[in-house]
Parts: sequence; C-alpha cells; structure tokens
Amino acid sequence: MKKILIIEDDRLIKQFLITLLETSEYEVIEANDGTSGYQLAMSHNPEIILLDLGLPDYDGIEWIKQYRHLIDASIIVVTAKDEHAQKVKALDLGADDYLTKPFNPAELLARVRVALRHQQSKKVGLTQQEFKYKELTINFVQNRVYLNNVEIHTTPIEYQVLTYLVKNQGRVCTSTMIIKATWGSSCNESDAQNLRVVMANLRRKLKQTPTSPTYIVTHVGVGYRFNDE
Amino acid sequence: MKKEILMKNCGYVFVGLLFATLFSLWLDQIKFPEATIILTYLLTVFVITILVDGFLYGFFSSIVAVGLFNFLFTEPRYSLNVDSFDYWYTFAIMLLVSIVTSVIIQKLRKETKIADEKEARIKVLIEISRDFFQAIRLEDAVKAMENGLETYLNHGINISLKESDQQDFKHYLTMNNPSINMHKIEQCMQQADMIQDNETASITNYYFPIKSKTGSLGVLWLTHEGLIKNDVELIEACCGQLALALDRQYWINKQHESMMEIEKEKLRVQLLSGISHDLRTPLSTIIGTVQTIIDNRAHINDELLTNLLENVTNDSKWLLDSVENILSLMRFQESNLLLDIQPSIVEEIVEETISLFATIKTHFIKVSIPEETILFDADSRMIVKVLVNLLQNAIKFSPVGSTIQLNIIKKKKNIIFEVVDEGIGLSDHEKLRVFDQFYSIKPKNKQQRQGLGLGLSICKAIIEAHQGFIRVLDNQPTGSKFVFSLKVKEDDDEKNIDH
Repeated sequence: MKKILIIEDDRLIKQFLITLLETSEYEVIEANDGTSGYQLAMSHNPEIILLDLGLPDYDGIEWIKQYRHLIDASIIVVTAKDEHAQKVKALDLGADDYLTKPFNPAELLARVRVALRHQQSKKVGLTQQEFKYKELTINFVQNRVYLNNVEIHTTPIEYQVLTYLVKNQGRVCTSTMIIKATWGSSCNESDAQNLRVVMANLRRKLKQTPTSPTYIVTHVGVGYRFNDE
Repeated sequence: MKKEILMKNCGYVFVGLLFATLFSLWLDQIKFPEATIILTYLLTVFVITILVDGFLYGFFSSIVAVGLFNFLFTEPRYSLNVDSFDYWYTFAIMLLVSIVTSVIIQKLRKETKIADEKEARIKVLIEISRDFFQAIRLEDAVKAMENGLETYLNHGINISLKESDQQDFKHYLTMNNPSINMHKIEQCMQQADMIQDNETASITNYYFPIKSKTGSLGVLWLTHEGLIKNDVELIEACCGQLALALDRQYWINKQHESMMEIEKEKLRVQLLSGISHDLRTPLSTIIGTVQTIIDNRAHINDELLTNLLENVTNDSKWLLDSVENILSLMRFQESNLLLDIQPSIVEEIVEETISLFATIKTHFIKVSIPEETILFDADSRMIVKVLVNLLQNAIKFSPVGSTIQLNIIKKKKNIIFEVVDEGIGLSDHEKLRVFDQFYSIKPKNKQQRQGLGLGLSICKAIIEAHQGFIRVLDNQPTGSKFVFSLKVKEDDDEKNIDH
C-alpha cells in the first residue's frame, strides 16, 4: 500500500482527507505541524506528502526550501485561492503539484495518482527511446516528433520545451522552470513572453484547440502541464 | 564695455560744455549780462548730470564750467586771473550750485533705479503667486515659478522636490544639462539655510531650501556668476511662495484621500449590510438539512438523501462563488485593483476558462477564436475571471440545452470578446443597471438562488482597470450579448522564435 503523509493543522479538513484517502486504499499518516511532519517524513518514508502552506510553526514555502532536498516523496501543496504567488513559488522550489482549496475529491485523487506515476517513472529513469501519447510520438534518439505518424517540424527550442514537458508528464511546470531548463537564462519578462509564443506555436503544430487541449494544458498564471488523462 | 561707457560719458561732458561756451560767446557778443552766461553754464551742468551716470562727471563739469567762465568772460579775458574780488564770490556760488544740483540729481537717479528694481521684483512675485493659485497641478506651479525667476534673473534655475513618502527627489530643470549634486541638495535640506559653493572663482553654486512649517520640502538651486543681496531675497521670497503652494497641494491631497476613505467605508458598510442577509439563507439551508439528515437518518430513503445532499452541495457552491466575489470586490476597493500585467495569449485564457466549464452538461459552449496568435498585455487570471462570470450568467439565464457562444474577434488594434446567449435577454432598463453593484435579476429557473449582484460590477472594474470597455447588447432573435474590448500588444502581433 502506498503511504501518504498529510501535514495539515485544520482538524476537519484533515479528517476529510484521511477518510477519502483511506477509502481509496492508501495508507495515511498525519502531522499537525512542519517539524513533526518532517520527522514523520524521515521515519516513514512516504511516497506522497500533502502539505498545507499555512502551518502553525512553518511557512510552507520555508518548509519546502529547507527539506525538499532531504525528502524523496512527491510534495503536493494545498493552498487557498488567493495565495497564487505562493503556489508558483512552491512549484519553483521543487513542489511537484498543487491543489487549490476548495477542491473536489476526484481532483485530489487524480493529483495523487499522477504524483505516484511520476515517481515510478523517476525511479525507473527515462531511458526509453520513444514516447507515445495518443497521436503524438517523440523519438528521443533522432530528436523527431510525429503526429499521426507524420513528422512535424519543430524548432530546437520548441523541441526542448516539448520534451521537458513530456519528461514531467502530469506535472505542472512553471514558466521559470521551463525557461531555466531550456534556454537557461534567469527568467525575465521578455522570456516569459517568448515562452508563451513558443507554446502557441507548439499548440498549433500539435493541432490542438483551446476547447480540447489534448497534449499541453495551460494553467494560467502558473505554467504548463503535459496531459496524462 | 566699461571703456566705451567712459568715452561716451566724456563725450557728453565735452559736447555739453562746448555748446554752452559757444552759446555764451554769442550772448557776450550781443551784450547780454554775465548772469545769463552763468545760468547757461549751470543749466549745462544740470543737463550733463541728468544724461551721465556718475557723480564725478558732474563735479568735473562744474569745475570746468567755472574755469571756462573765468577764462573767457571775466576781466581780464583769456586768463585765469580776476580783477575784482566779487568774481571769486560768484565762482564759489556757481561751483557750489552746480555741485549741489549734480549731487541731488545723482541721488534721485539712484532712487529711481532702486524703485524700478523693486517694482520688477514685486511684479515677479505677484506673477508667480498669481500663477500658483491658478496652477492645479504641482508641475504647473513649479513651471510658473521657474519661468518667472528665469525672466527676472535672465538665467535658468533648477528645483528639486522631495517626493512624498519617498527618499527620491523629483527634478525640475531649466538650466542646460546641469550636474546634480545630490550631496549639496541633501545638505541644504538638512540645514534649511542657503548654501554657497564656489565651483570656480567666478561661478558659484547656490542652494536655497524650500521650507514650510513641516520641514524642508525641496531645494532650489542655480549656478550663477554672483547673486546680489536683492536677488537672494527675491529667490528666498519665491521659495516661501512655493512652500506655501506645496503645503496647499499637500492638504488638498490629504482632504481628497480622507474623502475617498469615507466613500470606501460607506461602500463597505453597504456591502456588509447588503450581503449578510443573503449569506444567512443558504447557510441555514445547509445547517438545517445536514442536521435533519443526522437526526432522522433512519427515516430518510436513499433518493431523498441524495436530493438533500445535492441541495447542500448547490448552496455551498453558491456560497463559495459569493464569497469569492465579495473578496475580489473588497480587494479591488482596498488596493484600487492591483493588476499583475503580463504579456498574455488569448488562446490560453480561453483554454483555462473553458476547462472550468468542463463539467457543465446542460449547455453547449461554442468557441470561435482567430487562427493567429494574439498577444496582449493583461492580468490573465483577471480576464479568466471576467469570462467565467459572463459565462456563468449566460448559463443561469438561458434555457437548458441552448448554445452559448464565446467569440473572440480581432479588429485592428483591439481584441473583442463576446459572450452570447439565447436566454431571455435584458430590458433597456435592466441594461442600464446591470453593471451596478448589488443589482441582480431573479433567475426564471426557480431552482437557482438569486445572485448578490456583484459579478458584473467586478467584471466592469477589471476591464476598466485594463483600459478597456464592457457593454451589453441584444442578441438576435433572443438573448443578450456581453462584449468587452482590450488593446492588442503593439508591434508584437505575430512573433515566431526560431533559433
């Protein structure tokens, strides 16, 4: 059974989370604050941590900054709606995903499944030579992209962005993360704009429309995610 | 320059005396009495002192006039000797009279000059203070003062004012490329007294503080060959005027702020009293329903239970939406709507909006969007909020199974968003009021709760903060069309990156 650690100080929402996760057959451990949360993470080695950003003893962002590199687990941060900047910061610091309160149960379970899958592929390592999702095929050896078995031309930047998203399939990548991983500069406004244009071109080449984002899903103001549904 | 003036003055003296002598010779010829000749010379000295600036010329002319009179017109002629002792008396009187008149005239001249200067200064001050009271903006007041002083001093001046609540100075410069010495300006601010700083032997930097009762507000500074006391006094007086004008501006702003504060407070009270009732109703439903379920679990069949729980879910969602809207509204009022403006892409905004309606099965949302990539500067999340609000309204007020269109049209430099429904539409009266706060229309569908009337007023606030506009029109044959328009990012309409 997969282990999930919940770090949350609100008793009621924690009870709801525990009920939901246990009925979905996960093993749940819980902590009320950041310090005991860290200790439990070290002693129980859970697969996933659900971290509330507003803890009594820690600012959630600080917690991630301090412990991210010590913990193997995927971290899913839980934020209130108006803590938008915090959400982006948490992702930049290495959180794997986020949930916005109030969220519905199905959404939470979906996020958990994605995180587990992502962890699996991280353990195996991306040694595969080819990636396939729906009509899209990427050949990592030849650096080629096919849609419906027809090659589509991508610029080197577009290719890099696409493969970065694919390698993080299911995970929301912030603009800063993508820019740093692809053209490697510190992220300024013109980079952000360039990234948006790259994304627009990619979407067009992948023939996806705003009403059915088949491959790349936009999280406005946060970043992009390669679809995994 | 000085030599020329000297030559000119000497010329006046020479011509004057020559003319007087020739005239006197003629008078002597036709046997006029000596007294006339004396008066002629006195008159000449008088005229010379009026024409020529400088006491010495008058004095010199007096002596020469007496000498000439002695030499040419007293016995024995053509010698400086005199026969009669009477003449010495005449000479003395003549000399005395001419010297005294020249001194008096000189003094008069000087006083007239001082009076003229004074008048000019007063004129400058009057003009400046008149302009101050006409000036509405601070910049205008400063400009007026700079112009006034510039004309008077014939020299550019600079004014550096401390920005309120900030450490920085704002510079108003009229001199050509002056080097700003911040250290001296700060020093002058602190000392609140005039500072002179000799850059070279002839050029001096002057710093005048602009001080009000609350402390130094800024510094007026200029580079000049040398200011005389009167100039310094005038500049100080002007600084005083400017300080008064600044103080006045400050209090006007303060008053404006407190008025705004009162307005905000009023709105807040109105908001709270307006919504507290509306929030209680769904809360009562939720609490009552859940309590009923807990108390009577055994007597409630599954169908009824599902029904009741669905009501709870609906009311909770309504509460969530309302609270979101209330919070947005309060945040806008608090911070005058701080936007996170970024280059944004239309299709991403549409994608996010549509994804939020993925679970809606009652209505069909049809999207039409241009092929090209449209970039525009906006707070994407806010625009998503507007679209979500408009679509939610459209769903609420149109029959199940109908189509709602979301059209995006690019027209020249504008991008236009349209949300079109096939619902009941709005009367002209409703159209006028639909963007007002707390104005809401009861949905025909009795299942739904009436809104708080905040959604569209928030949309309007967001769009207007983006310098756009939002309208409501009729849709043919039935329904409404909400339209808002934003500016496309200039010169970046189409951009591709290829490396």
